[in-house]
Amino acid sequence: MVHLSASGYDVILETLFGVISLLLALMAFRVYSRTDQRQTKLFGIAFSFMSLSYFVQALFNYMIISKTHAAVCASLALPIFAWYNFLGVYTHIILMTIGLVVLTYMTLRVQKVLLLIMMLVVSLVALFFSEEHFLTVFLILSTVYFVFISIHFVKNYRKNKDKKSLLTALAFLFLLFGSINFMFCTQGEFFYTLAHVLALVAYMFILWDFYLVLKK
Amino acid sequence: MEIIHDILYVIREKGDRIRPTHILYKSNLSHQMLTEYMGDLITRGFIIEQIGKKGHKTYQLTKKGYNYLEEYSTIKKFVDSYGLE
Repeated sequence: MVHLSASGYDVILETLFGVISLLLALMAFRVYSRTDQRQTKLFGIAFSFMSLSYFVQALFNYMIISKTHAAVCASLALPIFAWYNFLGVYTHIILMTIGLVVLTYMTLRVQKVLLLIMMLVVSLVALFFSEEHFLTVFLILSTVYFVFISIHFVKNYRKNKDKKSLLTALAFLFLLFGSINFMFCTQGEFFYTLAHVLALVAYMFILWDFYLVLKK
Repeated sequence: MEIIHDILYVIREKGDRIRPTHILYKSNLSHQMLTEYMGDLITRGFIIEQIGKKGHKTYQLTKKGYNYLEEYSTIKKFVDSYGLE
């Protein structure tokens, strides 16, 4: 979102990530309805927020692209462009932060709801007061959360030693690399594209795993 | 998850009406553990407890219990993939 592709490939990828996250959330809620397992509910909630954050990101990026094209003929569109960018980035970041906090809390396997509330409050307050460093603070926070989430999935793979757990662990490691890479997005378009490619690889692993889970 | 599956499976295999002693014999659990699991399964709506005329307890699967058994393989693969225990 910070560096915009003229071709709009990011809109397509973000929509795809949103759809895959939504599928994962729906599957988790279905499993929750069958098992009443608290962790599957948290997993579903986390991916619902992540899915929504991707859809918001895609929508606002699409609106920015539309306005950019319009701005060629009308320079008056620029304030709208800035407003879309601001609104899109903030909404995406807040939704993604909530999703990552819930997912991290799920991996901790604790029953204390107060811990979840504390993690949410600390993260959102840190973002709220970070002002012009909003994006940097978000990327640091998300990287920290992805580290903890990845540890959980790597441990899960070491316990199960099967293909599905390996795909999941790899997916979250790629999301971690993508998150680290996003920190360099201000350095140029290349890093922005690379971050999307890493996320794409991660979501392809998740999709592959999803296929294996549903395969009879 | 596997213990829950095994208990529900035993109930279904026994024609959907089974006494606790049969489950105890088939599931290889201690009496105390089985009592805890059965209580949990009733609370979560997987089985219902019925008391006969002679005061014997029997257990029966609910629709939720049947659904769990039917989708167990997919549920287990999903739960294992993401470490959701």
